[in-house]
Amino acid sequence: MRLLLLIPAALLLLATALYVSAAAQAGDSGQPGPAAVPDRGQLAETLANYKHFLESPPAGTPVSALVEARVRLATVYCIEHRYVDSLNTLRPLQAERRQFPAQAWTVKGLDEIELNQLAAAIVSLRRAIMANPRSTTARLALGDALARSGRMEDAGKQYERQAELTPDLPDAWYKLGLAHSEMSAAFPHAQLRASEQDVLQQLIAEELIAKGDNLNAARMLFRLIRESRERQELHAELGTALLALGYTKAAGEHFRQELLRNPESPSARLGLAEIAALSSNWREVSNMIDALARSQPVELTRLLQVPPVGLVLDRWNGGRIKPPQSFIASPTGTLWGTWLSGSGIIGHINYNEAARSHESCGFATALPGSWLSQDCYQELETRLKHRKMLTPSQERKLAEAEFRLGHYQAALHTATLLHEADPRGGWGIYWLSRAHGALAEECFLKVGALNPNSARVHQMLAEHYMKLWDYPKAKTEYEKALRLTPDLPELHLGLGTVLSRTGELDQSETELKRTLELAPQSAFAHYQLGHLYLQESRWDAAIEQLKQVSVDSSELLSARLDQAQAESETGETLEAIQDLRSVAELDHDGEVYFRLAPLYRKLGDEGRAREALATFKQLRASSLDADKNELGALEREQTVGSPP
Amino acid sequence: MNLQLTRRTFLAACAGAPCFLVPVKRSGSLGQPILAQGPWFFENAEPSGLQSFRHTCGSQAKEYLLETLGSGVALFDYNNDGLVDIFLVNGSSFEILSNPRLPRTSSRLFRNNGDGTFTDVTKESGLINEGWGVGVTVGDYDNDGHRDVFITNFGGNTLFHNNGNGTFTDVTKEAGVEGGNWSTGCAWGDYDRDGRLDLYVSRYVDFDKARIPKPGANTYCSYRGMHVACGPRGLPGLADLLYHNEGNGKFREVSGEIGVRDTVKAYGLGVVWLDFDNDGWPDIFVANDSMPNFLWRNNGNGTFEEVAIEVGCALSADGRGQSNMGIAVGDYDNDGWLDLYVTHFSEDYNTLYHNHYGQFEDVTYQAGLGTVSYKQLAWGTGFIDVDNDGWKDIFVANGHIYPQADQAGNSYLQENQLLRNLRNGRFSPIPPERTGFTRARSSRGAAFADLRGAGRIDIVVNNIDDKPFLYQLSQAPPSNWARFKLIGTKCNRDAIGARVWVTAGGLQQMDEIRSADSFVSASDVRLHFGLAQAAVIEKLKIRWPDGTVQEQSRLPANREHVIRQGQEL
Repeated sequence: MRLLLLIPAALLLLATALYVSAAAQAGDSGQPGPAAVPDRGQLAETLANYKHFLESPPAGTPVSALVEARVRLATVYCIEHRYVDSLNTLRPLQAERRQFPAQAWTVKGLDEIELNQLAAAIVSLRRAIMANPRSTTARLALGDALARSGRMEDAGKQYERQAELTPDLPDAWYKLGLAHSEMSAAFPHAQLRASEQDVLQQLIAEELIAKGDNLNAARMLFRLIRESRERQELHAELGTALLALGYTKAAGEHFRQELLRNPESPSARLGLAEIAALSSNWREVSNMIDALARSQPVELTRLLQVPPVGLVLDRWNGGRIKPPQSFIASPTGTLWGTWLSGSGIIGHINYNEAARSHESCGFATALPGSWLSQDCYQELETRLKHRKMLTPSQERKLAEAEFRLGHYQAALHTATLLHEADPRGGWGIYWLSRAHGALAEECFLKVGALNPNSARVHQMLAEHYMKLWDYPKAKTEYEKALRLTPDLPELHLGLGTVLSRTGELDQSETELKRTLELAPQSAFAHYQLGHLYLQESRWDAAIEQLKQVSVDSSELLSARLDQAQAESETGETLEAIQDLRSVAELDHDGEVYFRLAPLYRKLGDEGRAREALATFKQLRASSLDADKNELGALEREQTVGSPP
Repeated sequence: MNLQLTRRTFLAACAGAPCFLVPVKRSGSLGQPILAQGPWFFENAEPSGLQSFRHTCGSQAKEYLLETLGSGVALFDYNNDGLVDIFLVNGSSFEILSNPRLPRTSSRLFRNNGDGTFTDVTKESGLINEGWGVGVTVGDYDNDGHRDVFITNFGGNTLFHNNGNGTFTDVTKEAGVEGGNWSTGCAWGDYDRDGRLDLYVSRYVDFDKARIPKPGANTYCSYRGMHVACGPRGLPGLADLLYHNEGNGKFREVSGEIGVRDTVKAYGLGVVWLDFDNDGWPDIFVANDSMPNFLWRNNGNGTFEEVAIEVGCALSADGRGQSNMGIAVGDYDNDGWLDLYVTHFSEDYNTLYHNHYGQFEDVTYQAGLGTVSYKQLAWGTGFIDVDNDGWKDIFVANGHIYPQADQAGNSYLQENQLLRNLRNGRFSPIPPERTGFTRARSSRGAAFADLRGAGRIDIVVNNIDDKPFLYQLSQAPPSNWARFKLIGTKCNRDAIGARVWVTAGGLQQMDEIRSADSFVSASDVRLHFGLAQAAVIEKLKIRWPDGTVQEQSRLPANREHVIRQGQEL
């Protein structure tokens, strides 16, 4: 092993650490905490050492050492975002038909993902996993490649497998959560039978309530109630929305209507308890909560994870509703106080078994969506699971039972079967969506719980909030992460990006500059900073930053477009033209040519200006054709599944 | 999540966030505005009597695009008493249209009483449009000296002939201008300079409620993760229409035969006639939602050619088709060429196209306007000289189309904006506490006129599902002004398309008479010019729509000048 003698052990460790860091930067960390920060000097030295070693290997160096050195050189290139160089470094191994080590496949796959060669990346990463089935980086990257290819279900399977293998790794849970969240939203509405569209409308209304859009949820539910009198939970959901909007009287009426047709409805009971509390009717509060705790302890636990409506909370916090001592001292009062004060996590509610209701379950008559007691759901689940064949209505009820018992994975499985058996039926999609949504929620809770003091966890939550456009929360999470790890460039870059979205340009500039101090080669940071300067008409500063975006960066096109604009503003028309022409091949929708036309015109070259515009039109027409195809497909879809 | 956004996704990722709301650093500001320190405008709709009108546009849930578009407003003197009256277009709802027993909504005509109040004269005037009204344009199509009104609707447009006695007659069928489905923008203009006003009608979506997907049903039915009304993308469009005035009260649809071929069936909204290339022939600019704009260049021989991409006003600076809504036309930098300001959807900027010898350039960021309209979803707009300093400012009416915007980091109700011309090619947003535009609504059409005849520009805004705004200046700007009412004798009577140059105090200004602009709205045809400190107009030059030119000199400021074609004052 002369290689090990030639390359200091510290550098080997560094390369490994940097490798993990690269994975982390691509959102694909192989370790729970933030990755080590690469030092530019060490990185350059490592690169030079590997290159030197490969160019003139000492006599007698074993082939395996050469292979290893090549793979490590490729790894360092990958870390440096030099993906093409990385692939080129690995190419001789392929040409020589040598067996790729697992890490080589992983690095190749990562390079290919960054270069958007997703099909190739999937092949490479599968081979990496074949060579090393426990490779966290490879499996998560494979999930990413599948997800980016639109194969969310396959991606979810990879993340799920990884979460099984490394249950303490937040990344796997986070990505699995994202996959579930995507799948929850991706139910194919247009394929439903017209008669079952209202199931989806109800689902949408539930989503609106979950997002706090109670007004629109109420509007939608009012209409649904007018159109579908038999559907369960509509009144309860409308009551919930109305209560959140402050219409207590109307809310109460809807909750009562729900209980008339759906006596076990937990939302209706809890809603009535909240309304009773507003009028200090503590006996009614006790009745409702007790009944709910006896009948639906799991669901009550779930419901109490969500804070009470603002009206109740405000009055409680303002001391305007005060329960009597007898209520406070009761188990219900303790539960109520914990909920209202938000002083602690409500654990699993387990009322005295003897007190639980044991009424007749009456499964056969229960309408889809009509609540049963938890005991009945358990009995139903047991009974149905042991049957060899289920009728569609039994399968619907099983999915419902599993979901309402909190067995989301089982509910997902049953809903998948239901959907496969009847793709145009509403209930399969309804429970599929709900199960994916609940599983996503579980995954995100897990991420937060795994290590609340982990910068990586805060970073992931920040990224999650960024995706939801919730910039204030994203900012808070990035700040928390930075307090724990002040020198991680990704965090400064993330915070700088958030701040540019919230219009805090000065602070954004500071963060982006800090990113570049820590990671001077970060193309995205250079681009972001250049773009920020462009917005402020600081043309020279913009040019200086944008020039530094490297040619193999995915920001190259954007950077050169901005750079050309800045150069045009400073009168450097020829330079602007040159910059635009250098990225013409990367541009598929003609923007480069659109911008070239006025520059040529500025130089008085009408011929070239016309030529550029003609090219622009040609490219744009192809892109419009693509649009047209997309529109055509949509129109066909609409015709097939036209709503009532 | 990968933070590495591409340039194209960068703007999209900003969706709804208060992106770039910090004003960019400026240079060359002129310092304090001329107007007083308190709020410049006060909102006067209620005392003036306009509050009896409340706009209707479908359900509050806004599940269909049709329910989100709103309507325009027209300011014109319908009874020739010298005072500008107000016509507010009203929408409708699916319930009203499908149930004859429900009371109809109607657009409303308010007569200017001359004392700051208005009286609803809709019934007695017969100007009763009970369809789902969208846009309006006013023009004397039969040159009888009385202004006629054309209204676009969902379900068939209406043309009301002004009988000259304070009443109107619906002549749509005889005139042959009914159109169909969903028309939006409309504007009168004389493209062949035969002295008779022709009519351009933009159309939006081929709307069939039964076929429109429900909110959230596909990619085009969501906004920042919220399920919202679908469209316009994903829905079939409709071709625009151009009617030639045949001269006998009848019109003929000629778009196909004269080169105005909207083959892509773009989602047309705002329409304006303007002579962008100073060749004396009126061209047509159409703001297309989610698609490149049209600029139909008049070839001067009865045909048109679409040149928007070639002359640079089809797309934004980076070649994107924007959600174009309303249009302001004016020479904001007084260089003798008409510029355009086009309003857009939220999370995008409203675009300022500077006209340089007939070639437009998106100068939004250079003008300091890139950051000021990012959160706003903008509609009605106009270049108006609020402080009479001779440099046109910009008014913008804002309001989101999705009520869900409130839950998505934006606001359904938004404040309107005034952007002050800094006289150096740049504009500066005036804060609401200074403009007085502090009440947020979901505004749509906006029109401009001196309703009090006091040399101050007033603004009327039609708010969706709400009462209108009447913004009036709190006090007269300490500057001079002049207004010109042109009467055509050889050209069309309202002189629509006439161009006027005013030279005063060493500054030459220019404007054209338009029958419609902003968002589906029509402002007063009398041209208003701020003259700053100049008490005399050194030179007035008029190019009438038929090409004849008339000049006068030494006209006094601070009054309305009525000029008949071919006659000295």
